[in-house]
Amino acid sequence: MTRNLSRITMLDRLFLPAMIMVSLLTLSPTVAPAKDLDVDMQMGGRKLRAAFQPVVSEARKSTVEIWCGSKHVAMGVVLDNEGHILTKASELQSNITCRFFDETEVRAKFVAADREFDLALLDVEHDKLTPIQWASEDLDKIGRWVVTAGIEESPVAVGMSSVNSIDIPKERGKAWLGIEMDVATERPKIQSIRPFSSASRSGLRTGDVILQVSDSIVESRDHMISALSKFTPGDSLFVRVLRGRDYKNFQITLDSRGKDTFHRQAIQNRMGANLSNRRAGFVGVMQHDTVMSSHDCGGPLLNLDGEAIGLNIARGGRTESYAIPASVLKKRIEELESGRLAVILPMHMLPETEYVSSSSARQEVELPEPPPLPEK
Amino acid sequence: MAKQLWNRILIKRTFRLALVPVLMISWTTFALALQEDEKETANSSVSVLEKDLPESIEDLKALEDQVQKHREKMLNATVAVVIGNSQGSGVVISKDGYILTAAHVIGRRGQAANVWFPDGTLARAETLGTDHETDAGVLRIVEEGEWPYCEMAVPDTYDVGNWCIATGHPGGRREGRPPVIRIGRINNITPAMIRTDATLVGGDSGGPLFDLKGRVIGVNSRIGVSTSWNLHVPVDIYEKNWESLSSPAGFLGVGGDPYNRNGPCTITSVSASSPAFKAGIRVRDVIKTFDDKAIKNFRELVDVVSQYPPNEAIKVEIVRNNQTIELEVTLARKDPYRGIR
Repeated sequence: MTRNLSRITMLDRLFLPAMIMVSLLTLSPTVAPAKDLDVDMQMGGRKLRAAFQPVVSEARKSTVEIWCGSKHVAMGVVLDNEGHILTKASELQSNITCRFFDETEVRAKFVAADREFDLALLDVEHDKLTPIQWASEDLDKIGRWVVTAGIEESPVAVGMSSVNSIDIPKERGKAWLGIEMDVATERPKIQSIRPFSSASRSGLRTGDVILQVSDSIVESRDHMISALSKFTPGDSLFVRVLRGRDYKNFQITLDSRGKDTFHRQAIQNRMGANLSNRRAGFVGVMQHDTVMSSHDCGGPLLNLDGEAIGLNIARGGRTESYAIPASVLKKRIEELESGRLAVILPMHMLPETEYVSSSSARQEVELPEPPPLPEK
Repeated sequence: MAKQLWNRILIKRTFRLALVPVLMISWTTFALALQEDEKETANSSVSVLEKDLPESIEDLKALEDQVQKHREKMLNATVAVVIGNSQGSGVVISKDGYILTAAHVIGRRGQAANVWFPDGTLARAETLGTDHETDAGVLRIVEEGEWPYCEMAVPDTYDVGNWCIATGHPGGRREGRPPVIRIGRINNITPAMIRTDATLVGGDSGGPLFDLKGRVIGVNSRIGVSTSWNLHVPVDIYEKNWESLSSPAGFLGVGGDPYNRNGPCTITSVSASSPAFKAGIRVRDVIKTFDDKAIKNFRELVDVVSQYPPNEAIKVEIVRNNQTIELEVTLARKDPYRGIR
């Protein structure tokens, strides 16, 4: 039905522009959605890390994954052609193997440990080793890309250096077993065990009388507390107790007190980050913002030239990871290879000794007889 | 002739009905094509700052060079802010010492604060406006001097995917440790929030988020569980609300009992020649309303007064000897260092 064309009204003329505006309005939410950056392109994203492949193409040949049995515990660095591998000591357990970039896997023999820097020297038999290239100078590194190599084509993680050199003081007195002592007696007798503590996972029980902590015989509660205070979270401890009429031996990895307190900083630090157990008691480390897990530590940290400026030693908190600078490592490696450090090992690092981690709960370990108890 | 034809079509019902879907489809395709176009020009453009992903070592070095270029400026403008027991970070955005920070770091207008520069310089400051909804806060250095600063970015000049640098004092200011620099990318933007994957932790609150040209685009506010959930107040909020955020606190000049929660708001002291005295407020008066807001207790009065700027006439209702009296008070400018110079 057609209308008289002479009666085109203003409304008719406005129809087209009005329709255009209405359709634009209804459309605007759909053509401008709230954009979220693709996960692959974020700092930890697959595609972003792939952009750093040229940086790690050589260094990945000098990097190993450290496995203990079926568990990936750390990364490591190939030091030379003789088979020496450097890694983070406190994560090591028994049954160590090294996985290389070319998918070969070899058993590693533990050689020596440097407890102060939490470093360990391993020995492997492998005919095709590529020693790591260390960076020659200690440049002012603040605000530069740092790349954590793995054995894959893409690095494990990337980030930026934040502090050139900083001390991370030992959390003195905060290494925490999680036991409460019976105050009725002089002797260190366990009255209760805190849940979620290293003691609760170790096999210790209420009523146990603690006789020895590491290589100290402890005769009183105070003595026990002072013996414990020498250790730092992440340290592994030999503890001998009297249970009824039997002696029992335990190997316990110490937690930090923050693990069960609701200290706000401790909670925030843990938010989304898998922290290293031993993450304090370091001198002169480099700090960077790389988001990484504790098992990504122990391997090389590279600059954009693909040279190793340090060894990642700990994931310290939500905003910080630490690396021992190459210049400091040089001296430590000398010490480790000298054979001198093989003698001063903490007991759990003795070669051929079954190292029992606190995660394998309730296990007891037979260790060589400690000195006899004093008469009481 | 064409016009006649057009008019004939215009009034046809089928034409009108078909118009809506046709327009919607064509707008959608046009807009999507435009987005694709933007992406392509971005990737082929020279600057790595525009690219979705760095494509080469040269790109990575270019990003690093940008950071190195602006590094000192960014660090020097980052301050630690200390108010009473509360500690956070801030960023100086003008030569005369205006500092952006988080509302939850400074709490309230008109308080004394200390700011520490990375080189160890300590300067006294007063807190100005706070907006607890957006977490925007401003303070100002009260000492004479020319202070290192970084400019605020023009509003809306940053986008999802842009590289950014966060600085601050995570875990609190540590002697000998400069403000800690972190890199990330903008993951999401809303009018009230920029979300990045530059990790933040307690102590960073109030510290700056920079673009790679060293301009302040945001202020650190809070975090979520994931390491890629770090939230910053967009600098736009500060720029759009600068008047109210940068105005000093008003001063009334009365004392009362802040621990008396049940009220009423009884005045126990009136400062000589203060705005309160000039308005006629006397000891033992009970403040009923301030600018028509009901006042329950003294603490409430302090909070409400702190939101008012000086030099404005404000209606105050007091109760004296069972009589309600209406007074008019003009707040003076509050100086938290009054008598402490």
